Amino acid sequence: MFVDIREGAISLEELRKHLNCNGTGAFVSFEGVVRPEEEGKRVDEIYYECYREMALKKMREIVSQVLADGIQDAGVIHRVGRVGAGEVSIVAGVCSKHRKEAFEACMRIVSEIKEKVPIWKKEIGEVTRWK
Amino acid sequence: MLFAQLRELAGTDTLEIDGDEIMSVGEIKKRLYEKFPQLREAMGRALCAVNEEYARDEVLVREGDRIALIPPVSGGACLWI
Repeated sequence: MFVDIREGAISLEELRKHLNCNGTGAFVSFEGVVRPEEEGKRVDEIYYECYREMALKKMREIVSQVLADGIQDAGVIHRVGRVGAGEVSIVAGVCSKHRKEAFEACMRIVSEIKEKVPIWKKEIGEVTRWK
Repeated sequence: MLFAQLRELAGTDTLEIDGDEIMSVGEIKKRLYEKFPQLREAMGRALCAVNEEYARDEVLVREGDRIALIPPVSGGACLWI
């Protein structure tokens, strides 16, 4: 398992180096990218803020649950601070024996992180607002 | 501890209230509402976390515990605690 929150650029390549995919048949990954427009308004960047200790704890819990369900390895890196439109804000990856459970696990990780992890985003652009 | 819009609204990342050695989350929220009425609406939408776990109003807090007000996160209603 690999979980991290950090400022500065993040990449799937880096995440994958931390995962043990030996002997698996599938690697499914996700990149979340800052959209340049939201509800018709231009977005220049998003400022991500987190409660770091709790966010890391919740991210570990989410990934642990996926591993407990039989996934070989999984990880996620979330970027915080200012992230420009078009830049990557989150990467997630899952190694599994078969593709179906890998797709499902990757979707579950990303969805649960958005729902349960204390990371907030402030859109900065045509309108500045917490979302 | 305060974060995001609550932190900006309060102009600080921590709030202080006078309290007893052991208090419930609900009692703490009530005292915060009384002391910082300008934050009442925003605090009303926030969840509370004690020692990095989401906590309902009946959870008891002791001296030294870490208490955070958690505004709604972007992707969820946080109705699952």
